[in-house]
Amino acid sequence: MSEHHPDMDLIMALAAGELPPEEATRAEAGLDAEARAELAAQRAALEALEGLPRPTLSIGEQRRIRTAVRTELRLGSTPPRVARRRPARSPLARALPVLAAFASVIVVLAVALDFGDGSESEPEQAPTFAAPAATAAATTAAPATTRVVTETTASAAATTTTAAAEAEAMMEEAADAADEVAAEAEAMMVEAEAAAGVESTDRTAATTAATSTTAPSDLPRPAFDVSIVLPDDAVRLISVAIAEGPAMPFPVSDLAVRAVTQGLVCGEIAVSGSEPDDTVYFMAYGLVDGEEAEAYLIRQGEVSDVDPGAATGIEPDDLLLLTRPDCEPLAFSTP
Amino acid sequence: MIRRIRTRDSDEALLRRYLAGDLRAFESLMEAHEQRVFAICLRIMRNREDALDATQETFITVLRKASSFEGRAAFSTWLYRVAVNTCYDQLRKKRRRPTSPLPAGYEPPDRATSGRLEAAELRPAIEDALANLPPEFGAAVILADLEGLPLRRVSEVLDVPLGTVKSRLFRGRRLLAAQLGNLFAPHDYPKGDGQ
Repeated sequence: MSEHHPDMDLIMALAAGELPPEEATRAEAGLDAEARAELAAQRAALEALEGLPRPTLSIGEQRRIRTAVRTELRLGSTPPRVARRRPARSPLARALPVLAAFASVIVVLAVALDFGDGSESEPEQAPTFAAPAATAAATTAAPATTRVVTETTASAAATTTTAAAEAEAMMEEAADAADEVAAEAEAMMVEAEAAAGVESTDRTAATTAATSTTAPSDLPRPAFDVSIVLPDDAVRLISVAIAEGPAMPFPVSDLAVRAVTQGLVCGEIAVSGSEPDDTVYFMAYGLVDGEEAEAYLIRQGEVSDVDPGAATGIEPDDLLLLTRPDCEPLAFSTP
Repeated sequence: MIRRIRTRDSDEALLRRYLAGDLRAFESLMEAHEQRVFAICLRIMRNREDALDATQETFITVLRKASSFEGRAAFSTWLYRVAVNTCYDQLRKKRRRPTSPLPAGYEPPDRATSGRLEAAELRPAIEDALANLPPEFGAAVILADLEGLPLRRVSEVLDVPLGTVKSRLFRGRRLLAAQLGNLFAPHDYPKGDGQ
């Protein structure tokens, strides 16, 4: 058999079915034995190749490649580092430790004043090193008691030590009580938020989700109910953010960083809106904590096409979910 | 309802945006081409990890040289050319052919004794036969018959004349059929190795 069959073009056209049927029949009838065998081989090869499945990249492989390419090419500017995902605390919860400390100072002052009252009846009492805190408090609260006293008595020292110990104990009790109140207040906030629309089978996720939507932020509250279930391996970081509307478009990466700051975690997410035909739109890529992330725009009901590369398609009450590359693929579901 | 919207600019427009620092253009370019580049690489490399590395290397090479892209051919043509060259370069570096021996005792099904071709059953034999093709034939078959590129595009990707592509494709298919020899009825099967 020759290297280049004289009827190569014709045979290839016949094998590919490029000729009209009548012309193909006529042409094939005119082939000699060698050409017919060549045509059979060409057809057999094409038939065999048609059975091969097309290779596809998995989502993880896509991310791996893109991340590697971006890293190698040093693409993009590193966004500002966001705080690690410590759940944002409510204003009350954040204020409580300060209040507790303030309360402790009040207690100390009260004790000192009480002690100062006693010292006025015993003007010779001297400060001692046995209770410097109490002494200092007493000094601050009742300067009259700081007059130089030349006589020091054992009873006065004992009294001072006892008062200081009591003051310390009361301070500890006050601090503990303040912590308890803070914890209870935060738990109440979480429960209130959960009742308002955030449900979770995982306490951590619920706490994070709830606080994320109530953290001091100019982001409006989602119009969607979001439930988050942390997988066992606790892959982390799903962020939920709400766009500010078409009047204030902003980059997805900016949204992503802000969303991360809200501190949601990775996992399966179910989004339910008030309409059964909620639409999940692929939107664009962004940066989350300096890493590539996918952004999904979830919009209630039918909408016209959204430009995946622009933020102008975002409307109030849209929900934007962002996933980091180290997250497992997410399952979105609508009721 | 879940929909993914795919509206995007041309490759050339995306490339310009990428060069201007638009990271979304980079993502769009990757999204548009990574599957096909990977498919080409896997067909050639026959090893998933190697194909992933080759795909990654392809994009790095192309995007690194993006500023020198003159637009005389389509961006995708250039990309696929880099992919093919990257794969064969890596194969040469590894000093191995992208082949794997057939399992011991493996007998390709005989079309004369089996009722019909079973694609899944024949797949390993077909892939082996494809991998055993000389690189220039294999590349033509992969690009034209598996990836469905028009022959003119294949000639641009391989940087050879159209006639050469036809010849390589013709001979590549012939070699494939020869390797899959007893899949075909004796009277249909072309004698000789087809070289």
